[in-house]
Amino acid sequence: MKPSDEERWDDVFRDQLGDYITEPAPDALERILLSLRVQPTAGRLSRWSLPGATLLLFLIGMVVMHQQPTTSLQKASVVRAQKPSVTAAPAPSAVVEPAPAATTLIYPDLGLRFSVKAPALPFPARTNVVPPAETADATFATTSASVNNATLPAAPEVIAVEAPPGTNATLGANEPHRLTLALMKGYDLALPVYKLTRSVSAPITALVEPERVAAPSLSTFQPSYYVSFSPLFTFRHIAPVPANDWHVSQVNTPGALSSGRVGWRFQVGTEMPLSERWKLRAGLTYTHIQQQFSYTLRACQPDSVRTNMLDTQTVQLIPVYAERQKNIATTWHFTGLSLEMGYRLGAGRTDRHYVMLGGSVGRFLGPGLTMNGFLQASYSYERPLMPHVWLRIEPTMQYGISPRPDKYDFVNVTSYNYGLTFGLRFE
Amino acid sequence: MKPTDADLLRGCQQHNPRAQTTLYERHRSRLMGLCRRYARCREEAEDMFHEGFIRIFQQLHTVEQADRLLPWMKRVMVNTAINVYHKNSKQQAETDYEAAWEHSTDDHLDTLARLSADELVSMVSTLPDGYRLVFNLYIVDGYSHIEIGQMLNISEGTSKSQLSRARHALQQKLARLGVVNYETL
Repeated sequence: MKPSDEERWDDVFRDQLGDYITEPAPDALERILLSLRVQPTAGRLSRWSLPGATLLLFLIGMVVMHQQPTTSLQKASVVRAQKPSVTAAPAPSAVVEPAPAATTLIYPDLGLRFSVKAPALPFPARTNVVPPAETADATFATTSASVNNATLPAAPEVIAVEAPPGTNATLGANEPHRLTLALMKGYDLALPVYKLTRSVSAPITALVEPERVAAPSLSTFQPSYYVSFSPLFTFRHIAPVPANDWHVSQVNTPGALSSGRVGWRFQVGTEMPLSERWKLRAGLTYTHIQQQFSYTLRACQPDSVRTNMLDTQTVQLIPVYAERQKNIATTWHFTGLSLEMGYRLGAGRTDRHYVMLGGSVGRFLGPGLTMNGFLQASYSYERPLMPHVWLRIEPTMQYGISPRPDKYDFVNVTSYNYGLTFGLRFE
Repeated sequence: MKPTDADLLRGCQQHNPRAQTTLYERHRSRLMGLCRRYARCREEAEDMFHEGFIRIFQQLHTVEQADRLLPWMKRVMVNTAINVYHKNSKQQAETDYEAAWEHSTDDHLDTLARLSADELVSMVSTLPDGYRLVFNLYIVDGYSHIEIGQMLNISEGTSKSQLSRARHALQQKLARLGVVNYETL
């Protein structure tokens, strides 16, 4: 084609098609506004208002959950006894053990150190004070009962107390040990059980450091934080929308391991142990999944007829149905809150196995989409990586709660995902 | 009193349904015509139109000048058409019209000029996707080959060759229609 003819060609098309107009379907506007679901006051941030509010509530909840119910923190003062810290007991007429120097009662879990002056004992009294009770009060109640016996030593005299910074109590000197511990109980401290043994056959210079018998640690029920990532494969259940006048057929989906099914999920949150076996996991979740499939639409009513002359008197009428091929390729973004309950299997000290059941509720981001969610189940395996850090590997399955329509509103799609979660938990 | 484009723009940015309806009614025919030129069939044009108008309503807040409203809306529709092209190009190979390489000495200009706009649109819609896209962008909507290359992620040379092939294909189609020449009786 000559350049000048080429230009004339272009001009013809430009003149004819430049202002070409044609009418859309009569219900096009209605469908557009329905898909849009315009909000009167919505701004650019409206689709993020729900996830933002959720994140804010989550952060507030984390702060509240981590308020420790311990003593209020104020600087402690060490009270020193007016009496000399070391005194020598006078030698009794009987063979008496020399009065010991100040001895120290140590409660390592509480971080408290009592300096006490144990009274002298008449020889040959030999007393082992082994209170069996589980509380210190009962411990010294037993002791105090036994001190009615003159052969038993009186309660040690507290002459000094050292408490870690932040302890609210100011303990006076000369307070009975029992009162002291009662005060401590008033702070709702979980007092460990001690096996307290004293032997007076030798000078009491120091008490045996209390041996811990059973001490349920407060840290066992401390919440921990986690972060996890899961590559996913998405499968889907596709159901035609029954109200349409079109018949859906030949639904084709990608192969099971197709890249069109690949998605991923990111989670961050906190775990709260409820008991030795049960735990609760809550967090924020973001899921990114793809959806590719195609289907054929065939009108339920014929829109034309093809005629076929069978003979001079017979005409065969063949209805022709309009058919359309629809190809769907969508990426979905789901954000929401997840909540799961876990049950621990076995009793291993290092490796931990859990069965987790729960769900997540949130929203698929995009116009015209409502709240949705997933039910989820997984088997969690944890092992420690380093102090206070655990590695988690967790095969996971999610099943969509509600179906959602495709962009043409001809089918409803329910997703279900399989994945392997890799996470870290921080104590 | 008929609202101006500035009034409509402001109303639509405030998500006023009445302003949106008026804007739609004012420009629907032209934009549907644009979609019909870029689509393979009417159904695909309706899909483009639907998706394009949703984008228009969602992104109207980015338009600052009312006199740029219609060109901007057209550009959004063209981008929608390009997206559809990219989606379709993943699923099916583009038909390569070998016949398009035949050079005809008869350019059928006279017969071309006698065809109606609808007939021309139908003829253009039967072109392969890539040819049709470049043809519309360059001939009808006035984009340069450099701009087309950026929009379609192709080189300037590829855009030119696609256009040349489109022209030849249209000539062949004109010949196959049987309308080679009108004889004035």
